[in-house]
Amino acid sequence: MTGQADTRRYPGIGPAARLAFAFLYAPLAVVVAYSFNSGPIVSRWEGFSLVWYREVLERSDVRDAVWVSLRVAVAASAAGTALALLAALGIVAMVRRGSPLAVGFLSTPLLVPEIVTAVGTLSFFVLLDFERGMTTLVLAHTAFCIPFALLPIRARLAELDPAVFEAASDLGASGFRLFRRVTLPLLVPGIVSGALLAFIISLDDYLISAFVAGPTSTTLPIFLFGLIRRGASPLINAVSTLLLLVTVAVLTASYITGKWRKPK
Amino acid sequence: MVAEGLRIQDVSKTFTAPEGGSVRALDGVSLDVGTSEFVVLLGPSGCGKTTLLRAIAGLEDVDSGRIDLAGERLDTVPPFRRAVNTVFQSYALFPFLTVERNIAFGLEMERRPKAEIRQRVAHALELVELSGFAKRTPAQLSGGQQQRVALARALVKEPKVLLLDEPLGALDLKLRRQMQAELKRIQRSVGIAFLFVTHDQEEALALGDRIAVLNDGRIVQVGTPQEVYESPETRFVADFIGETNLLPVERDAAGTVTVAGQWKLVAAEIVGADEALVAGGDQVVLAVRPERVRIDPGGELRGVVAEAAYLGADVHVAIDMGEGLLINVRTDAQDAIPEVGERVAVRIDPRHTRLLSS
Repeated sequence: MTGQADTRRYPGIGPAARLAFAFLYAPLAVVVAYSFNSGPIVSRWEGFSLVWYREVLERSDVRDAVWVSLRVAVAASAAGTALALLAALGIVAMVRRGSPLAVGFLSTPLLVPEIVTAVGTLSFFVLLDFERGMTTLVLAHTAFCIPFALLPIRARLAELDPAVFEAASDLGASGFRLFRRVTLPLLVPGIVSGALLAFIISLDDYLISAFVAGPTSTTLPIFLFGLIRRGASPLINAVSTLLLLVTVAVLTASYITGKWRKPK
Repeated sequence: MVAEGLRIQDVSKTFTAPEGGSVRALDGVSLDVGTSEFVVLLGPSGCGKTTLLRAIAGLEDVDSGRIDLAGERLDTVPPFRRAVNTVFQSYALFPFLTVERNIAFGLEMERRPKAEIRQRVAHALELVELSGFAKRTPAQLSGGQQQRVALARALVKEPKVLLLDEPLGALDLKLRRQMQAELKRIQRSVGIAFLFVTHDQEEALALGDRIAVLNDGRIVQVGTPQEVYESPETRFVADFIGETNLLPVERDAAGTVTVAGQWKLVAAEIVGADEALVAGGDQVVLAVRPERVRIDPGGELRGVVAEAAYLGADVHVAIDMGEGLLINVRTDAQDAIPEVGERVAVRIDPRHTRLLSS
């Protein structure tokens, strides 16, 4: 019997794990459950109803916020993933030349406190005299999407047999044709997975968006925060539940595509 | 001067290890390969054979020396423009393309007309006997079949030289034997020069028109399989290729040598005696293959049978000559098998021995 199996049998491990799960998921469960509450007060259950979901669909301010968020997420995840792909290929070349810095520079943004990035990005736009709105939102989101999109692309690149690229070169491929005919198809699972991850990161972002968004570009998280300041309403639960649903679906898709055609 | 084939002249390559040390992978290597010759690069791992192959393919730059192909300088040309193609050890097939598209890839890069590509791919599939597998993906093929696709993908480009980097390394013994025969057949039918890297001496003997033996980044001997097996020029070659008895030798001023303290003979009778005795001083050994040693009551060397193993086709006998010296003998299984502990004599024909400096 292995030591690992023994640890799992220690008394108390089971209940502790269940407690941790409850701690993690209880708030989500409350949000989801109360989104089906028929009454207007978040803290009192009055019966099952889809009334709040109907309101989500009918309210134009919700629709507007969703529309802004979707446009930003699509544009930023596409641009961020494209840049991440170039960065991933650049890293390969830099590592080959012996530079250990490349990966560090591109991954540090994952660890920098988001508020610092938010303040920095805002100062940057002020300095350049950019008017805050969709453009600044998309630019800021693109920037923080890059390190996230980079993760699955680099993971994919690492598991590929480098001889495949040598074979392509040996058979006469070079430059852009090598990229389009070999590199790109090999990296597709990583690219799709990275784009989906970036899409969710962009869709869920509040802090940076709040700093750089203009009055006409209210994203869904900013809208929700505005709503909640005017008092909790089951409407927020309904929107949050839908957002949760989209997140889980997209992240699942991201995970699955990352595992596609895993080379032996 | 061979203007036609591949000519490697004084090529050197040093790798710098990340920790700062450096490894001399190729050290003044020169080799000629004829236009439709099957040459095997044989050596232990780390001897530089794969580096030499990669230098010819253009996947590695050389530090000095030059490589020419058909009279034109090759080592300054980028890999994607060299008229050589490689079969990689890991096959390196494109997993997202079918067998057919894998093979067509190189021709598509040359922008050949579609009809020509279709026809040449079909021909290549026939050559490697995979005609029914055109629409499969590499993941749906066995290791042996993937290896044939890799071969077809390189051959379809009709290179002047085909480079093969331990292509049979991942196959089991039986399949390996079968693929060796197949490679030989394919090489004869296409008439392209094959440069084949392996560390397996049996494979080298079975495949090569000539064998180039590498050690420590240098070519130590080039010759036909018979030449390198029967007439090894160095102790390394004798030891690396096949089994060899290396017997201690003493010599006296009169030109007589004494083998294993028992057998006196005139040095001039032994092949390679002059060079070895001059080069090696007293440090010389007598190399003789186990199958060239005969158990014979009238033999010059006497010892006690330490081991006798029946191996089916033949019998392996180890004879203890005293002072820790064993002579290995291979005899026909139809002969009487000596008993362990039996006192026997062996006879060695000086024409089948070589004196080598050690």
